[in-house]
Amino acid sequence: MEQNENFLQVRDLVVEYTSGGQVVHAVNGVSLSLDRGQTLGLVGETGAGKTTIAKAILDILPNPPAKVRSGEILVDGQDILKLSEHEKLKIRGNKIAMIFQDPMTALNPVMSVGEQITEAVLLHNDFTRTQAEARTVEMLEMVGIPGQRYVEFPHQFSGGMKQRVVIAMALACDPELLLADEPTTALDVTIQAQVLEMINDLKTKLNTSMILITHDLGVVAETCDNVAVIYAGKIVEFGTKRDLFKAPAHPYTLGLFDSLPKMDDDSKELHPIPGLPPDPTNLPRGCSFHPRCPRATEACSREGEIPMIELSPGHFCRCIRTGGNN
Amino acid sequence: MWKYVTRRLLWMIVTSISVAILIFTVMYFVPGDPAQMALGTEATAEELNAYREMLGLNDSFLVQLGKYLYNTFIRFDFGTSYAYHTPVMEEFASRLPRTLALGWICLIIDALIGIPLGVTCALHRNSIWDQGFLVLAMVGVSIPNFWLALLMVMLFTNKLHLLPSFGIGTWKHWVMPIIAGSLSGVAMNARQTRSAVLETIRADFVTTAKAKGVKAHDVTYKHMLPNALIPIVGGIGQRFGSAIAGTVVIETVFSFPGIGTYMMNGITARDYPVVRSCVLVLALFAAVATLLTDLAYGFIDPRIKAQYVNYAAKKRREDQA
Repeated sequence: MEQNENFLQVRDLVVEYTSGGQVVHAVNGVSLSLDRGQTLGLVGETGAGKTTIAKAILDILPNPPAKVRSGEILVDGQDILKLSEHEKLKIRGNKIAMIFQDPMTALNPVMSVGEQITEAVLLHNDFTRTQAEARTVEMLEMVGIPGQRYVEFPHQFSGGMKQRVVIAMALACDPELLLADEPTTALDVTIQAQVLEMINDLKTKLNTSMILITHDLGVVAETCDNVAVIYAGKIVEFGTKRDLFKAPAHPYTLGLFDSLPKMDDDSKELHPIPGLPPDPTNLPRGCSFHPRCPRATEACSREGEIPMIELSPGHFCRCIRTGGNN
Repeated sequence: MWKYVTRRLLWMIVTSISVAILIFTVMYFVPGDPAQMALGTEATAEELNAYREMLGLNDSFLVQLGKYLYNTFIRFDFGTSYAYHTPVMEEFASRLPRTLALGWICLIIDALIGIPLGVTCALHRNSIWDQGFLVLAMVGVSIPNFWLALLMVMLFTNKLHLLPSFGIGTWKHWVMPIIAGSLSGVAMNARQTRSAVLETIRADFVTTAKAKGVKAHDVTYKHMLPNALIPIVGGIGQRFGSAIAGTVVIETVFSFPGIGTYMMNGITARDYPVVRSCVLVLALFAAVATLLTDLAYGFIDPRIKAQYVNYAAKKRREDQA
């Protein structure tokens, strides 16, 4: 995790929201790194802070109420958070692009889809308008939308088509890092596979790194190289996809796998993780997961940070109960 | 789209005729005698009767109505004013442009100041500026414009001798009527814009625009504002239609020779042709304003435009079937 040639490095990122006088601890010291061309999956429940991490990387969190308290986000060794607004504008949509969760609302309803892509192309390239429009048509066709639909508006597209537009928009300037925030969650299962495949193809073609945010372990299995499991704004387990799927170590990760329906299990019941995600304004002491953890002991609720333990090279787990006996 | 517009224009003719009949009937039954007003209390019964006969006021209701409609809609003759003894059309030619200029200048000022002000407040919501402005806007909406006009006259004319208090001629004559006429509009536009922009400020497509690297200024004016425009344009459209009616009070205060004063004088003198023509023109402008507003909606929001087009297409299909 400490290699310097890493393309993206996030160090001790802390993000807080202020809401109604209360402080919401959304991200609490997340560190992660990503090589060029690799895909990192961020997995976790709703509200675990996944999207906040992605938006912090682009520095597009609504401020107020959100605020990056501390931490560094290094892209090619450059701390994004320390750049001027002008320099940030050059990175957004160009070096780093984001695919949003809900295609139904992510597009401006009163601007033609072509215009929305062209806007990004013009911002980051020295193109004339004609060149930019040509590029947009090229992108639309790359994601499987006929070029003549350039002039149409979002309401004339289906959900899957809109997500393709969003993807075309994100890829239009050949980003080096793609932040995909649940790109398939809002889509039909049949379209999901298509869209994932498309993202994967385009990514390989352009050698783009990707952070894929999802709560779908199936999607992770299909696309990711490494996986970070997030719980209450902290990474609780990090490793290669193989590590995670073959030897999940953190009780929360185990819980996630347990809650999937199994084909070879005859019992009709699922095994969800009991309880609810903790209140982010008032996180439990010690390990945030201990109130729901089947293996929790008294030590887990003791004050203080639970350290990351390296179980095997590159496989980390934030649990005091693993390490020795696992 | 053109089908839609044509349909609306045809409906407008129906509306105008209905308004004409209604206002004629109302004026017919309103107490007050134009002859008495014109000739004074000294006039004898014969004189009054002769005068009425001359104006055609002794005909039956239906005959009068028929003549009126024929003259107005077929010959486009609005009649001759009883009090001024000039054709109403002639008066309109000189007065209408003034009133429209006054009304629309106010409208443009409302938009040019009110909308950016509202956007700025929305972007800095809950700041001291925003809070302070909200209070000011409340005051601006609540102050009656004639009262503001009178206060201004006291200050600029009586105390400082800077601006003339009535009449028309130089640009100075326009300053106070325009200020008095646009204050509440500025405040209303700003409040409307503020709340409409606040509704889009958290929208996902705004985040998308930011993520594309769009400048903050462009995010506001190219992405947020166009999506917030519908209610703003609705409000402006309403005031566009009433631009002539709305200036009646102000015109009267400043004795500004426009449609407003013309109508006020017409009402007091029971000058039927003047009142009827003014009301008809007001109604026409309101109808045109509504149509323009609806068309503007379609221009702003492609989803609404699609409805118009679909509507026309559906109608065509129905007609063919």
